[in-house]
Amino acid sequence: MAGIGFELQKLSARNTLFAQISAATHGAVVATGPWLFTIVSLALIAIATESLADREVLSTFRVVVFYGFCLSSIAASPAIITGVRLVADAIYAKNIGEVPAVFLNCLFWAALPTALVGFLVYFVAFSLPIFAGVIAITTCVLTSLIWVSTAFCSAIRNYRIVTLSFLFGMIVVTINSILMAKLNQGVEGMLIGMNIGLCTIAVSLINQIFVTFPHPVNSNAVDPIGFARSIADRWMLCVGATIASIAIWVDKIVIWYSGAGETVLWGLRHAPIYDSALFVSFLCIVPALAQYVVHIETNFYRQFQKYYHDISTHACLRDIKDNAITLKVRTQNAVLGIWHRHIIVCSIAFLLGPTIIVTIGLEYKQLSIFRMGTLGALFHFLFFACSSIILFLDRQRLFLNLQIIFLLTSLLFTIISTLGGESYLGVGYFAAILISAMLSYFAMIRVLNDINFLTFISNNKL
Amino acid sequence: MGAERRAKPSVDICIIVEGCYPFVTGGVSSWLDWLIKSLPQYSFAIVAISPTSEPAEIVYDMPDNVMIFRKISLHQSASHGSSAQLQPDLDPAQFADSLSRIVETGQLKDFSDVISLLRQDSRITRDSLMNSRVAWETIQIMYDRHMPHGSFLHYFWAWRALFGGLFAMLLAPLPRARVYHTISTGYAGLLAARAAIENQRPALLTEHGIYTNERRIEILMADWIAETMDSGFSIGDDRFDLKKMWVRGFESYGRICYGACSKIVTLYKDNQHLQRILGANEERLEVIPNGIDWMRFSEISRATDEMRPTMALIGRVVPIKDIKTFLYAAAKVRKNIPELRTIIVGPIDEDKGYYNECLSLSTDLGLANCVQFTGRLDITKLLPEIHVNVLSSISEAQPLVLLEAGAAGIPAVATDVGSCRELLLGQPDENPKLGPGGIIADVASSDQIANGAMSLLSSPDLRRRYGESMAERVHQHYNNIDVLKRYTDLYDGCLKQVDGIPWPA
Repeated sequence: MAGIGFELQKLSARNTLFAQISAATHGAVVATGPWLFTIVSLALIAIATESLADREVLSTFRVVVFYGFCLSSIAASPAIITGVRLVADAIYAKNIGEVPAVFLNCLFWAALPTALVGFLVYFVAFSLPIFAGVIAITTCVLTSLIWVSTAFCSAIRNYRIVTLSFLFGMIVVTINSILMAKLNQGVEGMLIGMNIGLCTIAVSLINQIFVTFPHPVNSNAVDPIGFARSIADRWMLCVGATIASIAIWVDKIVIWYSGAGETVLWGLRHAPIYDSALFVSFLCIVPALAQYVVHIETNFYRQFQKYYHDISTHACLRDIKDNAITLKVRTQNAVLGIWHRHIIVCSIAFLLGPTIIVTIGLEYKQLSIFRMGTLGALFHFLFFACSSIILFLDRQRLFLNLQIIFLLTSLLFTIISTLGGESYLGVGYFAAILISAMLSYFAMIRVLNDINFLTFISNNKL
Repeated sequence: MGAERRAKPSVDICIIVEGCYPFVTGGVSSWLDWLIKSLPQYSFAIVAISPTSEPAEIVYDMPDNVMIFRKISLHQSASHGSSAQLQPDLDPAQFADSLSRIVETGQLKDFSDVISLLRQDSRITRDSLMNSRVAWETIQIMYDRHMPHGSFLHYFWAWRALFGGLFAMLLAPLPRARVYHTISTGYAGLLAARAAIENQRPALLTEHGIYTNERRIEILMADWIAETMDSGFSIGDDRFDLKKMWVRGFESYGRICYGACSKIVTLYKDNQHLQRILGANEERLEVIPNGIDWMRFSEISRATDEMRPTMALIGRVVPIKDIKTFLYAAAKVRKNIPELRTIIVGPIDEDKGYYNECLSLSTDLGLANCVQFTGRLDITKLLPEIHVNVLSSISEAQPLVLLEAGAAGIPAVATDVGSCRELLLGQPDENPKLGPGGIIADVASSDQIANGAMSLLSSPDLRRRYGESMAERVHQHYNNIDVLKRYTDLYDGCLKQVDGIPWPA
């Protein structure tokens, strides 16, 4: 589903500075929309409400937003990965009419587990008041709908609408939350303001998907049980995606419950010293991910299509081998090319760390965490790109194993790092992503070296 | 039945059969069922080879003297282990060389070499020979050798099909038997050859149709196998085309079987010509025709001249029996004999689509009141009503129906396929000459079939003369008592050879 990537590539090919920047911007939104929008919104809200609301209220609001992010990304993973696969199959088979039904099923199976997980966290693990808990769960659910819609946005060619949806939603969130803070409506009020913005984004994106696929949906096609079976059939893929989501958050969760963590309202835990520095440092990855959407996803898809097309149109073995080598070399060059540029971005962020910290109002003691974050972002792109390519080539078990390695190393090293005090926060995450990135890179090369064997034998076991 | 009935170290005869008994009804299956039941003094094992591992219904009552029954699939679902766990201890170049020699020469020694190669590693499974990196390397080496410019995709799947069956035969569990009797070449023949080599026991072959020839026709007609090479007008081109690869593969399998079998039996002399071309040793060739219970059929009463003129086709309603030509012929006969009754006696459920087409054709030809599809019936009940037996098949070996109806004194009109000419007109060296028992027609010639049927239906005297010739021919040459004695002698001779010879380690 690289449709939007192809459109952005056309934009980028126009060779004007404005076109390049536009392509990069839209690519960034497609790749990291929900996260980018959340960071920017929260930053604006924090600046605007510093003197308006109680510090604990603002912290709790931020924490609930992060929790919403975390819980929805984990709980919705199985539905999202399954939905994307089903739609990719439908588009390949030219059964475009199936897409709206798949999308609806996906929304349902993202929202329902998210709501359940939210319930368990907010009402069982913590004891939120009912009203607050319901609003917090709503935040989770709306975020899950946005996750789904963003994933399906890859198939939309109208990138402007995607960007405008997030931009407008961000404005609505910011204004509403500031207003609620000003009116002393507490965490609940600010969350309601947030939810209105999330709703705006979700509705806009969902609408755009139905505009792109304007096929009627009959009641037989909306089949939650059938979709659940599809999730079960793809259990390895779903487990891999879920573990990947957990792995992204595990270091933060460990530190929330370490000595660096703090408690806000309702017993919710966070570690402001760690969270803010790490989230800001992670902005380094945005340009690389944007380039991934515009260049790697598209070119790799194109090259892979050629490889497959030549096989099915009866190429000789020599041509097949040549195509395989071309695929491998171009993919490797593309990933490393972006990574080399990413090194520059991360290096600049690393070196300018003190300035950045001070400018955005973080504490100086967060510098080490920020720097660890930039180094982590450096390797996290490599890990993401290589894992994605491995998954594209349907090496599900390998993808799962890599995510498990990242999860376990992040957990273990973060626990160890908490023993060293605040100066060592972030080292655990960095060490884990470094190891995982190296492993995933060499795994990707091995898979690409082996693509003929995988295509002919592994995919056709007799 | 999937287990041994008694704890016996071995049986006397292991029958190896492919694609018919005991799952599919037909001439070969019925013959085999009769043979086993008629020889209760021997214990049998049956190894039935089928294309897939899907469960199949056994449509014959298993004889009491069958001690072991095994079903082997040519193709089966793979294990889900990782490829890394499936690496056989084989050198791909050497393995490719051995497999290539099998396809190129079909020599028993090359087949024996492959068996020895596979025995070097006891962990080898069919999975590891098909899905491992060794397999992948082997396929590439063989492709470069045979078809370096052809479609790799086509070659890949052809290799998997051709050698997948070979590997299945090389690795399937083999019952211990004193003699192995295969009912065709092909994969069954490979299994018999392997049994002869590994167990050092004699192997026998009885061919009804010539398996290799039938596969050759199928392959040459198959439009899904692409022509991958333009050899122009060259007749000496040694390169492999995909179709050539398939044909040579099956020819080689046939040669291997001929090389391993101490006796190569067929039903009629004309078949031996094809066997010789494929390398069968002249000294091992023998003709043992089909036999029928002549007493039982000869006692059936004849249809009288006063009865409604009736011609019948006794056979399955499937394309190879060319029922449509028979219907066209019936329409022509009916123009001259308006009271004609036409019956088609045989299963109608094997090819429902074809059966429906025949029904439609029958209606279109105005035969709805004249033609009757009876389905599966005991033919002894209908033979007393039949004046002329018609066989319009495109391909036959030695059709039992001509013999059975012939024993009942019914003359036949048959197409010139298989041994039909020999059955109806006698072998060239028939002594004494018994005269024609029927009329031969060209394949798909409804005119000739119609003319033959009309001449028999309209002349009671001719019909009687031909019927008596046919009955006498069946009595003298196709009597099942004689056939059973021939097979008894064959089996006893082989069993004596192995008396006291120990099993190899």
